[in-house]
Amino acid sequence: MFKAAKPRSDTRSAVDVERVSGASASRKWLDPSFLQSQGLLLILAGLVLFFSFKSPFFFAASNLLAVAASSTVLAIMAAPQTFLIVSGGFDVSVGATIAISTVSLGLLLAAGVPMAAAIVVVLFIGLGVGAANATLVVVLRVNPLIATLGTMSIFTGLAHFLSSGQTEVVRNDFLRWITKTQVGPVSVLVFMFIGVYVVSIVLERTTVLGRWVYAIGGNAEAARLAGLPIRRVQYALYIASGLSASVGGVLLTGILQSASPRVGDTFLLSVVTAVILGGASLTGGRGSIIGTLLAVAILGVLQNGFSLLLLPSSVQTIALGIALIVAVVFDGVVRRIERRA
Amino acid sequence: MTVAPAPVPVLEVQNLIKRFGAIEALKGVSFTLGRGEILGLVGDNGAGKSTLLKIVSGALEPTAGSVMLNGEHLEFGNPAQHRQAGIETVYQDLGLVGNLDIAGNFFLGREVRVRDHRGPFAFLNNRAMRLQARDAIARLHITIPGSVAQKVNSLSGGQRQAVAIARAAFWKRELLLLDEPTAALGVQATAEVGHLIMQIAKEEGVPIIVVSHDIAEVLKVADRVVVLRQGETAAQLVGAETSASEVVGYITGTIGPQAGPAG
Ligand SMILES: Nc1ncnc2c1ncn2[C@@H]1O[C@H](COP(=O)(O)OP(=O)(O)OP(=O)(O)O)[C@@H](O)[C@H]1O
Ligand SMILES: [Mg+2]
Repeated sequence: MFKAAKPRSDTRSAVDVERVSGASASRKWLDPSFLQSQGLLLILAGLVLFFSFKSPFFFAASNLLAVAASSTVLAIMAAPQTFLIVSGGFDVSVGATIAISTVSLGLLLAAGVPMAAAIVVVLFIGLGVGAANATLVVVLRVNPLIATLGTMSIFTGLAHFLSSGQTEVVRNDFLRWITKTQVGPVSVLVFMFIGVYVVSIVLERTTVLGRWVYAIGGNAEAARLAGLPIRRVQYALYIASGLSASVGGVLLTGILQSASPRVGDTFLLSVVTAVILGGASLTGGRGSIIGTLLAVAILGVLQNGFSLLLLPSSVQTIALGIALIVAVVFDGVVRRIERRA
Repeated sequence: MTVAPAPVPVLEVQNLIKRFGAIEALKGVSFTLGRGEILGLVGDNGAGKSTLLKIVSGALEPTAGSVMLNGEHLEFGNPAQHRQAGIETVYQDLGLVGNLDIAGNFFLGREVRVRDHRGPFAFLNNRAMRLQARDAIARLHITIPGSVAQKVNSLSGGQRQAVAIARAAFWKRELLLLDEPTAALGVQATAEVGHLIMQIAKEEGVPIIVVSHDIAEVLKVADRVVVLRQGETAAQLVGAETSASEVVGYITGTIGPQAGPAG
């Protein structure tokens, strides 16, 4: 299929590729995304050290596992959001999707719908919200932020309307089982967390789809000219984001043993903060699952450390806002550096 | 002055019209291209050269008219289909993705997959792609320091152009479209691209349309020259029989149907 190369280059080809990856390793230190992940590791290490000194309970295996378990819902939504933002998209409706999912699940179970059917319906709700977002952005060409702000408002309102703003107690063995089972000291949630990130890292780094996501976010027109199925990829990413939020809604219903229309409120901010703090650029083309993972860990440690130090949750909200602003400012700085390079 | 079409034209462009709102970028352009032919497409800024190339490459849909490749109509507005049919293009703005590496750009949309699996979840065979991209660039004799694993963002304008040319030369089967391929290249590299164009057309028999503002370079390689003027064909000239001053005359309108008293 490919042309015969000139003999002089042919004999060295294998060697060159090796040499070549070595050369890129030294360049790596100048790569902003590499620096950013190093920076995140430093911040995480600093926070762990700080809280370890401040509280005797922090640096214990059981506490760290609890941090992981309580970060799972955020983590599960942050992974597809990373792909979405890298592709140049954006989804702020995830909090609302959690709300409509958990409220629907509560109502369906209260109405006597069997567990499996109720969960399928809820997953279809997430899929539907994702498809609606995708249609607005991809077909009707609405700005992603505005489109998903709109659906966010619709489904938040709908969740409050359906539940009359009330928190409903949900007692269900299956939901308890998928969220509270322990394997030794490790919560089943931690396994979900690990599973989602292993799959996401493999997707990002080794598959055709992963490459397409970066190409679409980097230069959508060039991607179109290269014949990539841009719309299908965008649809898939918005749907993945919606689905992850409805899964999050199901898990939260089990974790909290209740369904409240307000349970998704904090997630809008924390999901976007995790992805941007993790190094994704709002203009698309840059970001990584590893970065998001580190950012999720930082947010989880912050939350856990603050509650161990008995700081009120309002302080956490303030910290989250600061983290988001720092992340966005840093993103701007990196972009300026890239443009100069 | 005009040339009889080759018996079996590889490319046949018929009466292409393209409007952008009120602007009529192409007002009914027709020409044919035979095997191994090199067509120089020239004209002033805004004459419609890039628009014409983009329609042939599938990037743009014409308002009217048709394009046939080897006697078969091509659908419009679907670059993937045109590429599948064997048409490769170096766009004026190159069509490279800056945040992917050279090899990634080379194989974008046509990735080498582990065990040739289909579908978006197939694994990439990065090693194979890097080796092939490296060899294809070496064939162009344009040196790009570092590896094909470096991001296109980090390359100079000329190096990027070289990557785009090497990519198109690697994939072309039926037709190669070059929109100002040497605009950012140095003297040496421009000569290399000239050699490459001759080799592809004359040894491999693949016809080429090359857009350029460098009339001397065009006349060095072109069998025929089509001059576009405000979206219309001002002239079709035989490369060996024309001169730079004649071509420039048609470009500027001092020669031709609407010309004033020509000196
Ligand atoms: N996407 C577009 N939308 C509106 N008008 C366009 C578009 N693309 C091209 N045009 C117009 O069509 C005309 C022809 O443009 P085109 O790019 O084909 O010129 P060109 O011959 O390639 O010029 P140059 O030598 O400067 O590259 C111009 O008047 C331009 O303004
Ligand atoms: Mg042009």
